[in-house]
Amino acid sequence: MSAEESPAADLVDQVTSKDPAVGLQAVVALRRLLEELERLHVDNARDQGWTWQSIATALHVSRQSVHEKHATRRKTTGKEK
Amino acid sequence: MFERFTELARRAVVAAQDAALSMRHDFIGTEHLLLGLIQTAGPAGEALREHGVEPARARETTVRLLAEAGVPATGGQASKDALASIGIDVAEIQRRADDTFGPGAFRFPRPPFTLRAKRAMGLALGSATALGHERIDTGHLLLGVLAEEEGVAGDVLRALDEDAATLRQAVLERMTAV
Repeated sequence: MSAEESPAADLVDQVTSKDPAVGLQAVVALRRLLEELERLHVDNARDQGWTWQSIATALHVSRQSVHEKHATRRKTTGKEK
Repeated sequence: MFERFTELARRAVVAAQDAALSMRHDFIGTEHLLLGLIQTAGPAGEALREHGVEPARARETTVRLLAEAGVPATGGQASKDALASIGIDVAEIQRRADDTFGPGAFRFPRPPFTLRAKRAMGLALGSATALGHERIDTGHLLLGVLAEEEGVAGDVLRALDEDAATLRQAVLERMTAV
């Protein structure tokens, strides 16, 4: 493994970097993590029989927005009829 | 839009995601859609295979072209490193999610569609509408990928000496109303 591929070296670079690109990359990665966690927990809630309204209330968003975002995806992937 | 996809078209998109994941690319581009279509039944796969676009050869060419272009094939390591830099351990989240919800429920980073892949799917919808078809099948998806000429799928087909116009004709001949 070369120096530039070492995760530890990457980490030190990022923590000490004043480069906006590095900080912004962390923001994008965090947003993607958030989306994935939302997907995971919405799926879990639906599998446990939660209504779209209860999920929306728990997420502090409208029923319409949570339904638009997840219902088609769940139907498409065969998780829901 | 996905709700109008046929079962085969959905399978092709899932195969495209699998192709991106297996090649460790952190995005789903037109090149991955093309690979998904080649591996899936239906008019698109038939037309491609009949014109000698073999899955193995197309895959090798995709890997080579992206590597030459300097595209990382690290399974999104940059995103994991970026989260590590702010104290988030993705491997630990992965381990706990797998334990609680089963493997595959949580996937980070999940490759997103590129702008061009989205455009190709939009063009697929357009061709379905233009042909008066209710649903979007693999044939429409291939037409969309072929129409998005700037995409890497176009480069892959050119590297394989395939002519987009010929493929377009071939797939149109195989398409029936869906």
